[in-house]
Amino acid sequence: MSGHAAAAAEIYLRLIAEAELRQRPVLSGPGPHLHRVWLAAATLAAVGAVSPDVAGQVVSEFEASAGLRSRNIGPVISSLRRPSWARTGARPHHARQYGSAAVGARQPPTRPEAGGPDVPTAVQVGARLPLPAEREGWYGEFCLLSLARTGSQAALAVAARWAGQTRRAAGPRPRHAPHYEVGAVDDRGVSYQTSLWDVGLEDGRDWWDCHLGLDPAPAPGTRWLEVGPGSQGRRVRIDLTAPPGTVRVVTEPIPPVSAATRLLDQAGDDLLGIESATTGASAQLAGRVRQVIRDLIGSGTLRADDPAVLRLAGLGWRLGLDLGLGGPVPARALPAAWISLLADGHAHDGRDAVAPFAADLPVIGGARLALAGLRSAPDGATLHVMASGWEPEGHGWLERGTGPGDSPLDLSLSWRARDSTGRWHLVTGMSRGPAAQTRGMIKMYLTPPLHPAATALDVIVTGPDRQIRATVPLGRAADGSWPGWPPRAPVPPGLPTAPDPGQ
Amino acid sequence: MRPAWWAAFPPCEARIRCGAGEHALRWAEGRLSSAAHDDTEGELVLAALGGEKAGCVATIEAWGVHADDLDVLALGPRSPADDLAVTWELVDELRAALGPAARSVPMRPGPAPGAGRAGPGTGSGPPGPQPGPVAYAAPGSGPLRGGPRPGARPLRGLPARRLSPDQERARAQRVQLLSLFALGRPFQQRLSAEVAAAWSDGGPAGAAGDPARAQPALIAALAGRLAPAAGPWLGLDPDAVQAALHEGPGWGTAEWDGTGLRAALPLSWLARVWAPGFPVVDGHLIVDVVEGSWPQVQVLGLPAPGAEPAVLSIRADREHWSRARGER
Repeated sequence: MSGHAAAAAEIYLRLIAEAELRQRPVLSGPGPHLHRVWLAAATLAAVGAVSPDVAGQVVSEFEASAGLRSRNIGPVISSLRRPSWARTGARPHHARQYGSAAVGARQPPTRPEAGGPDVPTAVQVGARLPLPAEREGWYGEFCLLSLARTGSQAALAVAARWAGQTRRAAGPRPRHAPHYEVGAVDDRGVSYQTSLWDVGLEDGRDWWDCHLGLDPAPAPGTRWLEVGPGSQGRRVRIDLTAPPGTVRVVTEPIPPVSAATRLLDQAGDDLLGIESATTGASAQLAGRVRQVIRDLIGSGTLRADDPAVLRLAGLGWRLGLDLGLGGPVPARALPAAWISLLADGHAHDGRDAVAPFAADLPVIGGARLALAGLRSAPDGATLHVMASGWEPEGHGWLERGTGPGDSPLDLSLSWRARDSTGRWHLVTGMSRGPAAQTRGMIKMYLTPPLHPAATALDVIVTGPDRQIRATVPLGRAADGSWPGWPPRAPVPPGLPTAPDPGQ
Repeated sequence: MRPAWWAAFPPCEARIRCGAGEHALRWAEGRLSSAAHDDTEGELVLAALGGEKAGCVATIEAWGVHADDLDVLALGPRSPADDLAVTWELVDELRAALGPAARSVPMRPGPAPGAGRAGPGTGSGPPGPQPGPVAYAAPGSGPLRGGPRPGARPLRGLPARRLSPDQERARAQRVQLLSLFALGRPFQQRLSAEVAAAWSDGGPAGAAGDPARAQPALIAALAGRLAPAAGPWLGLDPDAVQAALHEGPGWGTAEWDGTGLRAALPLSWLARVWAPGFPVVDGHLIVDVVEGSWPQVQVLGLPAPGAEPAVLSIRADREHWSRARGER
């Protein structure tokens, strides 16, 4: 971004602030206030059109000015605290710090070194740990997908559920996840405390995707861990020296693409993702996307006839959304992922299954990532990732694009997946927990569901200058089962059981 | 010879509490002064050596600090209808809520925070006058020495989290600026004019960094003040007024572009025309001051976009400017 272009973008932003101030805005309470100026500043800072400092300063001045005119003095002072996206060094591992230097984004102050203590690595587990009965005779099970760890953190990616009941006519199934306390011990006799994190809502769902944190993290040289005891004293042994699985990882350079283009493409993904989850829901996001387009064009960051603008407008047209410009564009102008989503976005044909794979990815955008398994469901899939040097935007929970302050403004890494049948999947949400033991563990929600005939999945991570494609096996056997799914825990004769996801 | 930027301003005064009494601060011909303190610079030197800084002197010092501060234009008034809710009570509340770091006058050396201090007002019973810094107050609003006005309320909604040293400084500077705004509307206009004048010729002397980096803020300052005046002049939504900075000789341009007004004016327009209060007089957009001084000046005024400017003689009647007699 040249100095002239940056000045033009700053003028645009400041003139928005002047126009808004003439409307005598009232900001209630302390920030952040997602007003027009804040949103435009976040957009322009995300693409490097203005520096985060300048964007934060304009927001601060606007909020202070508004406070002075509405006799609400709070913002006059509180506005000195910059928005999170404008704080230099406030979040040393925040995603945006790893953006393209070409668009003015900052370089990370710390990066995990290859092979260093912060580099996540994963091993496949693929075992089921049956749990003793808890309330009302209900007993659960932990499906241990993979173990991911760095030098200081370790966690198992777990799919937990209530597997059955030991008594008839007992109470209904608990609405919370099974949380039977287990422990771990290693080959050296070191004991580990475990705790279940990132469980999510107590909403009576069939499956809970969660993380079983280990404290401490296994020391270097540890050969195996045993997790348990579960029902009848059963334990699961995890071989930490197991060779990498059959995951194929390819890294490819990609042509330079401006951050603004990536932002609009990400906005398209968000529109499709949210529309796939709930028909008509993309309309909620359309206003924000329209504003993003307007700000990028108005600030001179993109031309109105930029291909990224035209294809997003074309997508909007196909979704029945008014994005403020454009009309139909030929399908060939749209990314293959969008075409796939337009066709299969509302599919509900996913299998209940798990895929306990493990893959350590090369560095991308300053981040190190390890894939730690997946659970498939009829309406989507949950991919477990351990990350170092990157974390998703938001405060622990991000539902992409559903709010004006959420993404699509996180441009550091973009995620897509394509299964072996050619169906594309978008990440519609990410979740990370606050616990230190599971730091770096992220759940990514893919939509639409994996095709029932899929046998592998390409997980595609795109950074500023390269793309990583990791082809992970879904383990589907010829008879339709998923061999990665171990046999069910023994159930007392004549008692009801939950359906086996492997069948 | 072109008149000075302050030529169209009348003097103005405000009374502030200073020490045990009240003194008048007077602004005239581009300078703020206090008749009660004829050696301001000497008092500042003494204060730097540990002496007590008088309220008047601290305010004059603060005025100088903010005389080229772009925050003045960012926060200050845009039009006569644009009323800032800055009062002494508000400044006191801010000081009460934010603590000593937000005081705009330096503290004398003294005991550590929380340590007992002998002297009036430090024991039990109602607070009384205390030694220490002088806070500013409107006349007749009660004793203020040593702290905020009694009854000043902590503000709700202020961040309780710790600020960085830079943020602390910024906060103190902002409260200091608000204390200048609290002197009243005439002072707000004059301080705005002073900042605009300081930036009119390539930036203030000794300005840190590249003055060109201030261009966006200056353009926004111009646009934000031209639009509320020029919009009604043409019966337009102010959003239809576009402004740019004119550099070089002449007053600039103002054209109708089919959808709105597109004007390029020098930044000095803010100091010479807008701030004294005559951006539009008798159907003319005033673009420059040719000669004279308050209360009567000759100006260049545009009867319409794209027209040649006419020389008008205008005269002030209190806050209002109109064509001088015999001009019509």
